Formats: sequence, C-alpha cells, structure tokens
Amino acid sequence: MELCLSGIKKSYNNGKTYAVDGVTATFTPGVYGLLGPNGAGKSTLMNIITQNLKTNSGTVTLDGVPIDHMGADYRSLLGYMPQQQTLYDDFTGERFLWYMAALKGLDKKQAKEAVSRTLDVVNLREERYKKLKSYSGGMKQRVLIAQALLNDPKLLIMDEPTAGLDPKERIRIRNFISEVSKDKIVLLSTHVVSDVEFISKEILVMRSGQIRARGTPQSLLDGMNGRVFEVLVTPDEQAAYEGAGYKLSNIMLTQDRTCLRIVSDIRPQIGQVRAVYPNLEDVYLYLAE
Amino acid sequence: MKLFGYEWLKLWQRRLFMVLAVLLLAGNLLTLYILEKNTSAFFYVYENRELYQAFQAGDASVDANGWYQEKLDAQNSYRQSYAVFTGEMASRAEQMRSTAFFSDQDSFVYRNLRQTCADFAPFTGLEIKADNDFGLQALSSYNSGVLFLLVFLAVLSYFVIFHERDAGLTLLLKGNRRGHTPLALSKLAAMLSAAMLYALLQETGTVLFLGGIYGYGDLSRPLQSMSRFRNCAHFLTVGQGLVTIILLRIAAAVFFACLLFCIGMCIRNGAAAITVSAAVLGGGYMLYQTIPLSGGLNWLKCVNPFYCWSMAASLGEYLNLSLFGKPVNKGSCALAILGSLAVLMPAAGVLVFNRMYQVKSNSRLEKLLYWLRRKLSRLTHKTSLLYYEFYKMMVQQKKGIVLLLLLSWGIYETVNVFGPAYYAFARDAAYQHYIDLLHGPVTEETLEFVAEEEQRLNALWLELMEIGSEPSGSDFLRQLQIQSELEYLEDGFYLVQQQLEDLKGKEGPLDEKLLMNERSYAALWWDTERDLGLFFIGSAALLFFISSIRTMDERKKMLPLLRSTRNGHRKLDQSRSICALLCTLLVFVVTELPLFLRYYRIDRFATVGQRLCDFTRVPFASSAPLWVMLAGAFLLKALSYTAVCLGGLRLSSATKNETVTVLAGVGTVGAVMVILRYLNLDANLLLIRFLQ
Repeated sequence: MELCLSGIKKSYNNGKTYAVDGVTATFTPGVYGLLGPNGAGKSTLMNIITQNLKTNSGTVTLDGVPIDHMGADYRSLLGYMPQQQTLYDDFTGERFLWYMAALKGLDKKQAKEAVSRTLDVVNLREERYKKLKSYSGGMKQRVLIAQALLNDPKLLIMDEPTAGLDPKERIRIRNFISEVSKDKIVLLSTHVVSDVEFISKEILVMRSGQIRARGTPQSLLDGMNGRVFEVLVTPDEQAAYEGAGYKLSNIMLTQDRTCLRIVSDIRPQIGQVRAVYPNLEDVYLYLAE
Repeated sequence: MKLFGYEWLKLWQRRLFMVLAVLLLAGNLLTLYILEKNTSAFFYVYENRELYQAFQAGDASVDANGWYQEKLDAQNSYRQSYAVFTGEMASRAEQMRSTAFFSDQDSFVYRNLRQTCADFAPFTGLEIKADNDFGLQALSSYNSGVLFLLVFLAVLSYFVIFHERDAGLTLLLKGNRRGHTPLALSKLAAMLSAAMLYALLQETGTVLFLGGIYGYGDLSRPLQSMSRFRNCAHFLTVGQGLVTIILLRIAAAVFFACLLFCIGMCIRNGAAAITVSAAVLGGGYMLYQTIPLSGGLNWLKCVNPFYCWSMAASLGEYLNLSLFGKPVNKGSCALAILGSLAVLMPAAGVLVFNRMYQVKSNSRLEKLLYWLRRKLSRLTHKTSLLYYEFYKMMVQQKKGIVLLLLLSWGIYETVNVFGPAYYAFARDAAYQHYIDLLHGPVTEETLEFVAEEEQRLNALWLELMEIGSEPSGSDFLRQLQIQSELEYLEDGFYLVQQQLEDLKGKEGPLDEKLLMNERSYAALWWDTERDLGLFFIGSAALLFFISSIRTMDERKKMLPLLRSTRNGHRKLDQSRSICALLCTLLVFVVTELPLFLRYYRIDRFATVGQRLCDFTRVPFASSAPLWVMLAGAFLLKALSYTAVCLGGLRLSSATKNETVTVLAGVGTVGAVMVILRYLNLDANLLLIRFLQ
C-alpha cells in the first residue's frame, strides 16, 4: 500500500497565502511523525488526506488511484483521530463508539466486536457506560483513539494522539501504535517529540506549509551533528546569548552557573562551550522554528 | 459588565431556554383559550360580541334565549344581597355575641368577630355596580398559570445553577476574588429578575388576553361588584384588583425562585434537587388544596404561595388567623412569614454555596440510571444513522423536552375530542341528535321517520294549545314537559327537515345522497383562527427541531471526524434529511390528529362518500366525494409543513446558525399566517374556494 501526495497546495484566501504549499510525499506502511509548530499546515494536510478539504492543486493517491475517485471506499480504509475535546456530552462512551461504527459502515456483528476490542485497547471498558461529559480530558482522548481504530484502518491519521494522557497511558498508546503499524500507514502529528522518536519510521518536519526535512530519526540526528552545544555561562553571558537570538533548546541551572543547550550553525564563543550529540527536540527547534 | 450582567448574558445565549420561555408563555395563553372555549361566556360574550354589546346598550330583543338577562339578574340579585351583607353585619354580630360561644371577651372568636365587623364597617353603603364581569370571572378561575411559571423556574434554575456545576465551571468561577458571595448573589439576582420578568409577561398577557376576549367592564367600579369578591375587605377598584393580582403573582414567582435557588444551592445533584423541589412544591399545593379555610390548620393554607397566586382566594376570601389569641389578617401573616422565608432561603443558599465544594455529586437516582444504562446497553447497540440523528437532536440537544410538551398537548387535545360535547344552543344538540339517528343514505325509512317525527311534534303543538294558557294540576306539568320538548327538539328537527328538502332539490336520485352532519363539518372548516394558529405553533416547533440538524456537528467541531468516515458524506446527509422529514411527519400527526379525530367523531366517516355538490350548506360545484376534500386539506397541510421543513433546512445550511434559522423561519411563517388570516384563508377554505 502506498499513499502519495503530489504537489498539494491549499489556500484559504484565494491564493494570497498557502496553508499547504506544494507538499509532495510518499508513505508506505509504518509510523510517520509529523512535526511542526502551530500554523505549519499539519492539520490542513491531515484534513486533505481525510477528505475533509479539497486541494487547490495536486493529487492524493492511494496505490495509484486518486482518493477523490475512491470516495467511500477510501474512507473505509481510513481511521482519523482529530485534535478536539468537544464530543457529544450526553452520549456514553460505548454509544459514541457504536455511532462511529455506524458511520464507518460496520454491521452489528462487526461493530460489537470492534467496540469491545477498542475499549480494551484504550483501557475504557470499565467507563463505557458513563456519559462523555463526565470523562476527563485523557479519557476523551482515549475514546477518540478508540473510534479511529474501530474499522481496523489501513491508513491511520492521528492529530496529537497523546495530548492530555498521563505517562502510563502515553506509553501504552505509543506501544500500541507501534504494534499495529506493521501493515498500516500511520501518520502522527505531534508537538511532543518523544512520542515519535522511538517508533517512527520517518519524521517529517513542516514549516510554513512546506516539508522542510524528512528522514529517519537517526538520519535527522546525524544531519544535526556539530550544530548542538552545551555552554556553561554566567548570568551576564546568558543575557548576551538570549539577546543575540540563539536558539536555546534547554536552560538548566547549576550551582553557580547556567548550562545552555544551543542549536546553532556557528560554534558559540562565550563561556565554556562543548559540542554534544543532538536529540530530536534540537532537530525540531532547528528545522521548524 | 457586572457579574449580574454576565449571568443574564449566559441565559440570553441559551437558545433552548429562550425558546422554552416563549413556548411556555404561548402555552399558558393556549391553555387559557382552550379552557375558555368550552364555556358559555365564550360563545355569548366573545363569539357573539355584537349581540352582547347590543344587549348592554339596552336592546333586550337580541337575547333570544335569555342568557344575558339571566346573568344580569344574578348580578342585580347579588347587589341587593351585598347591601344586606354589609348593612346587617353589625346587628348579626351583636346577636352572635349574646351566645355563650362568643361570650368570653378574651377569646379569639370574640376578638375575631369584632375585628371582622370593624374591617367591613367602611363598606356599608358601598355602591357596587352590575357590569361586564366575565373577564374577571375567567381571570379569577384560571390558576393553571402557576404550572407554567414553575416549569419556567425549574428550567431557569437548571441553567443558572446546575448546568454550570455539571460542566465543572462553578469551581473555575469560585476560584476568583468575586467567586463566592458576589457570584452567588449575581445568580440569585438573575434568577429573581428572570422570574419577575417572566411572571410579569405571563400575567400581563393573561389579563390582556381575557380583556381582549371578554373585557372587564368599568374598571373604576369596586372589586366587590362581583360576587366572588364579596368578602374582599380592601378598597380596590376592578382596575386596581387587576394590578394587585399581577403584583401578587410576581411576588409568588419571587418566592418560588428563592425556594428553588436555596434547594439548588444546597443539593448538588440536579435530579435530587428537582425531586426535592417537586416534593416541597407538591406538598405546598396539597396543603392549599385540601385544608379547609375554616379548619384548625388554615394558616398552612393561607400562608402559602399557591394561595397568593389564586385571585379568588387571595382577594376574595376573608380570614383572620390567631396570633396568641389576637386576630391578624391572613394577608399580613402571609406577607410576614413568606417575606421572611424569601430572605432566609437565599441567604442559606449563598452560605451553602460559599462553603460547599461545588461539583456534581452522584445521587442514588444517577446510580440507578447508570445501572439501567449498563443493563439495557444491548438495546442501544444500533448501527442506524437515523437513530443517532434523533438521539443527538432529542437527548444531546435536549429538544426532547419540547417534543414532550408537544406530545402532552397532542394527547390532551386527543382526549378532549372524545370528551362530552358542548352545544351553545339546544337547536345544535337536537340537530346532532337527529343526525345521529338518521345519518347515511336517504332511504324510505329515513323519510318515514321524518314524517312521523313531524307528525309527533305537530301533535305536541295541538296538545299544547288544548291545554290552554291557564292550566292546572297535571295539565301544568304536561304543559311544561311539552314546552321543554318542543323547545329542545323543534329547531333542530327543522334544520334536518330543511336539509332533507334541499337534498331533494339536488340533481340525481335521492337514494344516492346521504344525510349527514353538515353543521359539524362547516364548524370545523370555518375555524380559521385555530387552523392557522395550530399551523404556526407546529411550524415553530418543527423549525426548532430541525434548525440544528445540519449545524450541530459543525458547532461541536465534530464535522471533520464524521466526514472522514465511510458513511460520513452522502449517507449522513441522507439520514439528516430523513430525520427532518420524520420530525415533519411527527409534528403534522401531533397537530392534525385531533382534527382528524374530530372528523371521525362526527359519524365515524360513514358519510364521507357524499358528493360535494350535494352539500346543502356550502355551494360546491365539484362532484368529488367529501373524503377527497378532507384528504386534500390534510395533504395541503402536510405539504405546507414539508415546505417549512425544506425551507428551514435551506436556511440552516445558509446561515449555519440555529437561532437565526428559528427566528427567521418563525418570522416568515408568522407573516404568512397573518396575511392568510387577513384574507380569511386556510387549507380548508382554500380548497372550498377551489371546489366551489
């Protein structure tokens, strides 16, 4: 299975600016992390892939067939988890999943099995008869994940899936995504770099509607080697770095000085400077900001 | 903006609350109208207003069956009795004091007797006046408005107190500097002001509505001019009485609002609070209804907001309560006790609000509901999108409340159809009686029966003439019997006979024609106001239901999720359209079923095969059978509702705003209804004109 985006452009203001500006990418089964700041175009791109938005130009194809031609058949392969907290308050968790199963075209037998299975996946079996208005933010997030998995999708699009989850649930969901990604294309948008750091096959960094970098986590890290430094500074020196516009990925107070983690093409000169191996947050800061 | 302003803003932005308030105001007037419609006063004073006005102007000839004179005589008789009542009170009291029961001067009964005489002494010689008192009679008999007020207050307290608490917002608000007493006071102020405004609108509406139907006569005459207010010990004119009852009812609304505020603040669970409120209010109502005024526990009856609500009781009854053996007027007692409670209850509410952790608690009822949901969860395992569209509309958006109100009204109207029939004239009852016997094909038996009945009535006339003008003994009784029988039957029989003659004059053989209840059909066809009014209410309800079908998911930002699913495009849209059409069908059935049953009740559709051109009361040119016209009228209404539905859906798609859709839709339908009323047209009359 192969999902291809080819020259995708989307503008909300008749071409004055583009939320997605000429994105071209190909996805095969595996997890893809989509990183980027707010307004980078991640959600717009997801809405295009989920057939919620029409493009101004460019095509999306699945195995060579434009998704517009596939229509409902395409959407039956799709699982989408949007980033939202407003649900139907008076639905119980179980009723909401049944509703989504109906929308996904599952028959009663399939729906029963799927609802039961996904409730276990997101650990909501005990809470399924409670109304959604009594759910916490994390529980709502889990029920959204559950609905995305109902139809055992081949293409799973998830917008901030772990936002609001506690660390235990975050790890649990992350592992689950990793497990199911063998035969699925999973496109996962997030601000939390650690969510995709260990499970993603590739990471795409978006900025201003364009993909600025794409590669395996290791290749992105290698590409950044020599651009990340830890500098021990005094308060005056710290002010000088901040004033000079350096990208600081971390500030840590030590006993008498401050340790700055700086992402820069040029080696800093003030204070005790040492080059360190980058992490994905550094990559994100360097490419997306 | 002050906190109070924000509380009002929150209420204003609750569409359901605003729609319910308007529906309750309209429901109150509709109930009053339905109740009044079955009274003789409605027929003689409202429907025959010209006759009544002519009678008031001195033309006694318009009073064909003496109804107006009978009412006037009753008023004149009361005027005389009132003079005796006030004039002889002192002497009667003197006589009573001479008995042993009243002999103890320190007893309550002795003091009460003196107090009563003193209170009524200024009324000796009061000039009371006979005038139109039908409006006042109706107003003092109608107490159902309190139910509408209580429903409004329940909804109000839900939105002011429970909705925020259930959503967890109260905690957020309480965490601020002005989040304790100022916030609680602003909620109280919002509840009280909304209750006062609603009571003012409802009660002023009631007074004006009855004024419009009957009028109140001379507003400057004493309230005691009406027999129901004989025991009123206040100098009030009729006009002042009307203002007083509005103010009293506003005060009752304030008291009820204080009570609900206190309960709402003290009980964190909405369902439990409603149960307690219903128990307290139901208990109060039972005390008001069951305790006799002269009983030992009469203070529980009088010091009661339901008692204050009743105009006949609060202004028409005189009572002193014993306060340490001294007589104190019931009004003063009620004012002191209910007034104190109206201060203490909110104060307790504010105190509890400040001290209590404001999160929703799970009541036993909720636990029971949870248990039920768990047990019955299999029943909700549906894969029909239509089911979920209805669920979203009725449960998620709480529009089921309006559906329940509509269904209750429909059931009430349907049950009323099979209630006893009222006839304004004996003629109509006799006509109905004969038609019940003869309806159907005109056969030899029909003609024979009519001939025999004519002979029988003629024989009665002859017998009456034989008895003469000065009968005695058994002749007198027989004369009365014959007069009464002739009075009741003759006019009605003449109508049937005339109809039969007219049928004979129609083209075609007589045995192919049907003798039928044309008067009942005509009465239903010419009830334009009811038809248009009902259609307007039905359309408003329909617009309210469907206005959110296409906007709700967008407002809740659910659309991207729904649209990304297999059935999230065409099938979802189809389900929404079917849901809207089913709502249309539902509204159509609820609003039109009573009319259909009224047609059915005429003669169980035994004569719907009658050709329209054989109608004797309406000159139809068409030879189509009657059922075609009836079906046509219902079809026309169904199509009109469908047009409202499709227009509403279009409007909702265009505006993407529920409130605008409802307001614009209701405004448009209202304007069309006004034009149709002006043209005197509705579905039936349109078809009649077309078929004539």
